[in-house]
Amino acid sequence: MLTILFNGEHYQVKSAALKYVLIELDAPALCAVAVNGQFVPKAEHENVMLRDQDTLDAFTPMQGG
Amino acid sequence: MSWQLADVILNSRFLIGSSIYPSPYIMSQAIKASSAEVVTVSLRRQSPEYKGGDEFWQHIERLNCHVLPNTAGCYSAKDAINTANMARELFATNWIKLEVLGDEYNLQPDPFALLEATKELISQGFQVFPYATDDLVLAERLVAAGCKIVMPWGAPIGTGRGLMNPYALKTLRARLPDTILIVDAGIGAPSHAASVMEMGFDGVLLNTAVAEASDPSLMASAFRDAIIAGRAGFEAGIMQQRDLAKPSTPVLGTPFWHQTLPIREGR
Repeated sequence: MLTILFNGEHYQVKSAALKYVLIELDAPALCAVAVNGQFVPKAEHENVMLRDQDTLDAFTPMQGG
Repeated sequence: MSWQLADVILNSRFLIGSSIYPSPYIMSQAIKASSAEVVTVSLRRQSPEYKGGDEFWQHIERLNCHVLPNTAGCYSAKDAINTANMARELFATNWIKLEVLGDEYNLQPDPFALLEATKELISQGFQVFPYATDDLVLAERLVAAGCKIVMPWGAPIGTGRGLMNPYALKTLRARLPDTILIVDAGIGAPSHAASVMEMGFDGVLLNTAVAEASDPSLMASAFRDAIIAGRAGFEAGIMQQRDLAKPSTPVLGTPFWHQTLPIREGR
């Protein structure tokens, strides 16, 4: 089990591959993802392995001026 | 009359923001009333109460407009570049309204970081819409870096103060005749937008003046009409101002043409 800080809250996940961590955490289908503050393109989600205490953020559309 | 912005042909010269409306429904109604074909959006970390931005995004998709994502809230080139890359994936567009702020008080763009981020993003294939001050040299540097579009401010974001420095804006227009120039930020009244267009700017981008109006849809339509009128005035050719009055009605042959003008004492 890994402990991940997802969108500012701690979660425990079974997977390490980013793609499956996002499924476990029920991340929205429409989102862009950053690991430890760095954007990870969708094409790389399957290859990126998270480590314990990593920070994961999902970014979604919102209003902008 | 249609015009080209980046890789698209548009009919409207009004670009509108999607923020701070009382509700997504009012936002949609106002954007429809504006006839704008480009809408600015942003991205933020998902929060449970916001439901991943689903409702907002559904409203935007139904408008069938071109989406211009921004990098609002970034204070470094690195953060802006990172945000731009996320926006490109999230919104499936290489357009980016590049905001790199340098001062928290007036939200003034950081010209050095803006130029740095612009160069990097252009090398990554982005169509950069840089939000800049009205500084001529900065605009020239942005164009030299590859920007086809520059978006100088009229005044700081959200102030509604109109055109703080018309001289600087006129100079930008004169010195960069082949660059798409869009005044972004600080526009408060439809008359401000008309003035921008009369100067020959290519478009106006605004948000707060519409979103915070008592009737956002009515204000959106007022800005729409002002932008159309200002552009038509520019294209028609606005007369030069004169110091001396000149009668608009021909004086020759008027019934009392032979009368002498009264001479006032003290003349």
